Amino acid sequence: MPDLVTHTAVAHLLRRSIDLKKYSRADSRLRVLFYLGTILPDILTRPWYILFPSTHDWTLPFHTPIGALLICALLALFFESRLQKRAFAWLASGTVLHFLLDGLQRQVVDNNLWLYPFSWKDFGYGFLWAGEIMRFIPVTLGLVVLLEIGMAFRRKADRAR
Amino acid sequence: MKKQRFINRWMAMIILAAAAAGLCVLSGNRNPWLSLNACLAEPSACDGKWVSHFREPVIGALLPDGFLLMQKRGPSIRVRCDTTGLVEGEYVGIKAVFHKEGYLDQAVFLVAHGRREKIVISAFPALGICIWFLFAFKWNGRKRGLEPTTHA
Repeated sequence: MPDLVTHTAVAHLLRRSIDLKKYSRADSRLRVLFYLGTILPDILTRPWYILFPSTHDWTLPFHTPIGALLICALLALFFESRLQKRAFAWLASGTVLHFLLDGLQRQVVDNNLWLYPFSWKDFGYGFLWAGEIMRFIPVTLGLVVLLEIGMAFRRKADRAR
Repeated sequence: MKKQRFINRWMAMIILAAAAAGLCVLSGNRNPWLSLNACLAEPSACDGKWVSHFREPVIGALLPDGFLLMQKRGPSIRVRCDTTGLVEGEYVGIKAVFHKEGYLDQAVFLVAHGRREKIVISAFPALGICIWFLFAFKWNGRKRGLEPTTHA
């Protein structure tokens, strides 16, 4: 898996780029769910099996699209009824982004088991070895800063008009 | 009508939670990996088979013909391989062939340089997003659900 800084930064780059096109005030209040979705598969699994390695097999389904989307749906049901669909959409899109990013990574042991536990096929398209993505953190964060500066200038220009 | 919707919602929650628990049970009892612990418990059954499931494996010590693979809360084992580029104390992703005499060879592995740093830096966004979530929503008892706070 890429680290969570990369996951969050890429999510931010995507979400803010969408803001450039269309900014919805209603959805801006739910935006944290997109970021939560993008880290959800990792926070549901990694802490458990780093601290208690024997839980690996039991928690692994939450690091698959099927398991993670079930949890997204469960979380969305905690929202008031008129927000549930949008909450699920934000959480699920963050989660899908997580798996797309994870797919970039190559590992010795199969890692992108998207249909596990029903299939053991690895769906990763592995461009980079695990750990190599961390080298790009400064670049990713640099892009975030550049985008934010760009957005600030745009807002200023909009206000001046 | 409102009460019915509330019951449906709880039913959906129970079904989703049961499905998630079912996946966990299925995964815990039926997975394709042969683990080192299972092999050490029954060495003859695993002789010559690929082992790819270890508990947080770390390079414990470099040996003349390989290294000692240490697991977190699990037994260690000797791995016969070329030790070029290996660093003691680093995490390693590995699969290798188990031998009933109690060693591994033909190892395919990748030293996970900087894994500890990766875990530490990952904690910051995780913590930040969780705190943001707590500030962004509040429970509305009347509507029986989370709703955005006004300052979110």
